Amino acid sequence: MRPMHISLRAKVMTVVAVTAVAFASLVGASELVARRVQHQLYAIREHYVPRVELEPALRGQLERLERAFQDAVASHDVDALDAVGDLRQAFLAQLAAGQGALDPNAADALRLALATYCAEADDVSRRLIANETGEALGERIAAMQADQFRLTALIQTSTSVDRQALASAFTQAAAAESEAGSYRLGISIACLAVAFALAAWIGRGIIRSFAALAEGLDRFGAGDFRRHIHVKGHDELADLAEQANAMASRLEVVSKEQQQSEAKFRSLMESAPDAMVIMGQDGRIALVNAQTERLFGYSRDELAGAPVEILMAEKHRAAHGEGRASYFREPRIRSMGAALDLYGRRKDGTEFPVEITLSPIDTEEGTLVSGAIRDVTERKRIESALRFSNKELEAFSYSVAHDLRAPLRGIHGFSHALLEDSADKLDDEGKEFLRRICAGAERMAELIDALLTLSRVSRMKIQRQSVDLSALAHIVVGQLRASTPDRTVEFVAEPGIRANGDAPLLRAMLENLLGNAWKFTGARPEARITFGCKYEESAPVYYVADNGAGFDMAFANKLFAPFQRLHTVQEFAGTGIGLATVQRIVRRHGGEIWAEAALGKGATFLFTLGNAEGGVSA
Amino acid sequence: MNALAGGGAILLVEDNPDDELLTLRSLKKHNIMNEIVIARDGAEALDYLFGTGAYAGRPPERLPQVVLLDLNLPRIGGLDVLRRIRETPRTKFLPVVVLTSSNEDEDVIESYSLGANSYVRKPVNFEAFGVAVKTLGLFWLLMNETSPERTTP
Repeated sequence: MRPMHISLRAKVMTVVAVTAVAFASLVGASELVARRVQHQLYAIREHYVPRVELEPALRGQLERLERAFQDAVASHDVDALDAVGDLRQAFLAQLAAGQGALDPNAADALRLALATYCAEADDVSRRLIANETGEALGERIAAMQADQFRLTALIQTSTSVDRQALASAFTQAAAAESEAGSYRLGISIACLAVAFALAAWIGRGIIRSFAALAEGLDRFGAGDFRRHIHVKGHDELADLAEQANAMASRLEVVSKEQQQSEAKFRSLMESAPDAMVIMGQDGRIALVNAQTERLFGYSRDELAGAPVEILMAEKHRAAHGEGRASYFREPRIRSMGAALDLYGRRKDGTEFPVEITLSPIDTEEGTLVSGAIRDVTERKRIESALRFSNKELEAFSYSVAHDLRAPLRGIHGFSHALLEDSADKLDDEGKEFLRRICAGAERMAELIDALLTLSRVSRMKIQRQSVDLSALAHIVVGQLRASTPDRTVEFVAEPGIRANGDAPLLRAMLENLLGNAWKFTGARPEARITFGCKYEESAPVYYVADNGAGFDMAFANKLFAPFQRLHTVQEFAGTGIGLATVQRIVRRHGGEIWAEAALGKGATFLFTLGNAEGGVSA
Repeated sequence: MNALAGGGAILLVEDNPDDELLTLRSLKKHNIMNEIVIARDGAEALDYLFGTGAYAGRPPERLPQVVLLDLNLPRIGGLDVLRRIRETPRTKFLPVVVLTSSNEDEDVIESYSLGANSYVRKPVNFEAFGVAVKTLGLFWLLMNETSPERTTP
């Protein structure tokens, strides 16, 4: 089973999430602590501030109350004492407003003390207004002052603040604040630690993977595909590593194939029968094979990097630069030599005839050209020998024509003369023998003529021109009609059939083919011969068809061999050379000839003439 | 008389005795009675025509009516003889019928280009010779001289 795939993205997201959670808790904790501190400060304000503020207020009220009593006494106005009641009510209202800041008992105690004081002060004031004197009055005044003192003291004590408590409250708040600070620090450190740890863990993994990848790719780059890249984990980098490994495996195969094909190329090159020279566009030799060393007498080391001209005969060197440039402009396989009469040059300075085949090779370093150089000294020798023997053959043919025919003429001529001049001295059998001698000599003359025609067809130079085959066919048939006026033959030629070929040879070809058709339809009362042209793969195929004796296709392979006949001379006259001549003519035009026939059902001879220029013209 | 008729002789240049015999027979059989001079090779033919060698003293202006010239001759070949005839102003227009043993194109073309008037394939039977003579415009001359009693075809 495949291990769980944790992507790099998921890892990063985890780090981000963990960090976010940590910071959120940090913020939450800070908030909690801050609230606690705030709460304490608030309590301080609520508890202590009104109490502190209440003391001067109550004192002020009390002073106004006291002054009111004193004013009433000073003015001896009893009615003015009524106004004191309002001030008493103001004191009580003040007290009630600030009551929350006081202990509940303290307020009651203050009200009671106020009532006592006011009652005493009112009594004293009335007595003084009434101008009462006496000891008793003095006692009442002292009691009143004691009440006033008690009230003042009570105000003071009840609004007094416990400094220790206040200090402790502040201390508590400060402690809470400080505690919050340390929590925050702790949590911050913890968050950072977690985030760092995670990031470090993931980062280390990524860095390791990258290092492994980089090292592996370096290795692949250097061509070492044996060790693959190992990346731990199952993230994108591991996938990348796997892909790189797969690529390396393929590269390994390709590189092996390349090495093999290179080895194959080298061994092919070394085993080539020709001298192989590989050359760059700069005309310098890049590579040669052993055959080159043998043929030219240079060692590989001498040739590597040398200009290719050192292998050429002096007369070719000057023109080679331009030839090379034009070759690289349009590189293709090209054979040179046969017509160009090229010569190579050995290290020792001797020159020898060569034939060169150039082929372009596409490589990473651009197009190179490989030249296969063949020493054709031996072939040239054979060719010249062949030319010589061809001349001999021509001389032989001529001698056959003249010397062989001379005695034959004698045999024929004198037999004929004997038949004419001395017929009366011979019996019928003797005359018949003489006739046979004549016929034999005539046939031999025909055979010699046919052979000479065949050899002439092989030797003659072909001079191509546009030939109207249809017109030619009509001329030939016209001659045949003239030679056998008793025959009735229907001849149909498709008009406008043209061919690009040698006119006399094409005429000889048609004479043979149409002559055969004429001959083999001899037994038909409704003889019919057709000459036409059809197209196969857009190339013209000409044909001569007849409805004559035909032949068995089993013997078709013998048709075109000289002296092969499918009929006896008694059935149909002939030398057995005609179709061999026709085939020679067709082949010399670069074409082919074949036949389709059936015994008793006529024959069709089809042929091509080696170029596509012919055919039926409109 | 025709300007060409220098005695009405026919010069047969032929080295093969069989061919010579058969040609003579054919002409005789058809009542051609002209004098027939035989030359066995090209040199002899030229001697006859130009009154040199064995024919020294023969008036050279007495030209034959026609020359039947084989090509394959010893010493001087037929084509060379023909060339000499055409090169010499006096014999330039002498009718020459070339005898060939085959239809070898080279021979025929060469002899025509050298100015042969016609050619006849051997053995020279009268029909073939007759056609050549007819085309040369010599027919009446030969016929008149040889067979005046004969009706023309």
